[in-house]
Formats: sequence, structure tokens, C-alpha cells
Amino acid sequence: MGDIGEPEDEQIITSVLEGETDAFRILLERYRRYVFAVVSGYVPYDAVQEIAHDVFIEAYRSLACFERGTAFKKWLSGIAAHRCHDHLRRHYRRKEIPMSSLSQGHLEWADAVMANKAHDIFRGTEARAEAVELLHWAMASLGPEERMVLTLVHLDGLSVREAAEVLGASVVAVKVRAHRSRRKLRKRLHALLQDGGKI
Amino acid sequence: MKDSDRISKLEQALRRAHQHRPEVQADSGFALRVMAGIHRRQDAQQKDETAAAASLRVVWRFAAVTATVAVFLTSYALLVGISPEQIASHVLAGDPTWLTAPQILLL
Repeated sequence: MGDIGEPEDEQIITSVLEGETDAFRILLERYRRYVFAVVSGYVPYDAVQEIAHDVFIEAYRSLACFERGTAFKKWLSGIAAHRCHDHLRRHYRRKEIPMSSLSQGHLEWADAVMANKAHDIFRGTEARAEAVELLHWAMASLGPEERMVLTLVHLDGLSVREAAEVLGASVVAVKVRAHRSRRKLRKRLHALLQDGGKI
Repeated sequence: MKDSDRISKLEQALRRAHQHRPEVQADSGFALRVMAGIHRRQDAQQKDETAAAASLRVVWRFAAVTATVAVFLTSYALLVGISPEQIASHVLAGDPTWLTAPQILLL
């Protein structure tokens, strides 16, 4: 990482560890968007800022444990995944959200998917946000581990092995959770298609 | 269309939505808040280290004083020809009046 003239990540880390705390701000500015993108993939939008804040604090605290020669970005995404996992464990314990909480916009979005109106599905930020909210609604009935695995494997397209590395779990456990979480998601989507009314 | 196909279609669209999710913008004070949190943590850590160093200083001073007193008492006991064990056994089991004034002071 680092353009011409900009210090490399490892140089910055060395400076921070030698006492130049303010140098951490360069890493913060460099990876802020990335961390926000990663975190927003796991948790609802309203929790993203708070968790991203904690991710950077945690990264600073654990900087001495960063293994030289590995990618700082990957290390940071691991911290982000763990923070999101903790957040989900604390706040979203299989809290099934009733279908009545879905707005007309959510149902219309699903309706457009079924009607093959590809243009309408992702026409703007609002439609995309509705789609993500619908996804969070569908995942709300999953446990934190299942939710993390579903996001990593089915939504982000990571291999089971890669997801296991991120989560620090065994490959077998991730494989089982991936299968179970997908089945639950499909069951939830089935309920939406059955009872959604408009669809 | 079969139910499973409809679910797959919706699932695929949701996956696409996830991959193209709108970017969450950090507010203008985000970096400042993080850096303030880091500085707070650093200050707290320094305070802890200072407190730990102060406790350690007290422990070492106490140890040094105790060692000096022990050396002094042992030297004195050897000088007057009585072992510290003897002093202790007389105090615990016998009449301490045989002890001389300086020996009593040792106790």
C-alpha cells in the first residue's frame, strides 16, 4: 500500500510503536472507507460508525501484535469481522423481526425482483438501501455465527477455508453453519414470498 | 415459476444488493473522535504505568530498609554473643529479664 511519497503501512506502524501516536491518523484516513465497507456488510447501517470507531481503537491497541510482512488491510478486516461478531452477539440474538415491520418500499423492491425489473432494483441509493434492509430483515432470525458465515460465504463469496480463517473457526464448523444459515435464509425468503401479499 | 426458483432469484438479487450496498459515509468528526479515543487510552496507560512504577519504588525502598535493619541486628547479635534464635526462644518460652537492655531493644 502507499502511493509514491506516502509512507508504507509498516513504516507508519513502526513510527506509532516508537511513540508517534499521531502517525496512526494516516492509517485511519487510508483505511476508513474500507473499514466502513467491511463493517456495513455485517451490521445494520446505524451501528457502522460506532463499530468502525472500535475497530480502529482495537487496531491501535493491538498494533504491537501485527505480524510484519502480512497485509495490514487483511489484518484490519479480521479485527472488523470480530468486532461485528461481538456486536451481533450482544444485540441481535435471533431477534426475529415480524413481517409487518417491512415497509411498502421493501415489498415493492422484492416485487420488482420477481417481475424482472432489473433496472428498478438498483436504480438508486434508496432502492439499494431498501434491498440491504430487506436482507438484514431476512438474516435477523439467524444466530450471530450463522449470520457472519452467511455474509462471508454466500454474500461476499469467500471460500469456506477463507471464512474459517477470518472467524478463527474450523473449516467443518463453517461448512455446517454455511449450509444451515442458507437454509434458514431461504426459509425466511419463502415466508416473505408466501405472506408478503403483493409479491 | 417454482417456489425454489423464485427464492433463488430473490436470494441472488439480495446478494447483488449486498455487493452494491450504498457506502456509509463517516461524519466529519469521525477521525477526530478515534484519535481522541486513542490519546485517552494512551494517557490512561501512562497513568497506570506511573502508578505501577511508584508502587514498585515503595516495595524496593521497604525491602532495602528491611535488609539494612536485618543486617544491623544480626551483626549486633553476633557482637554481643547471642544468636537471634536464642533471643526468640527466651522471649517465647522463658523469663526475658536476663536480657540486657540493648538486647531488649533488639526485640
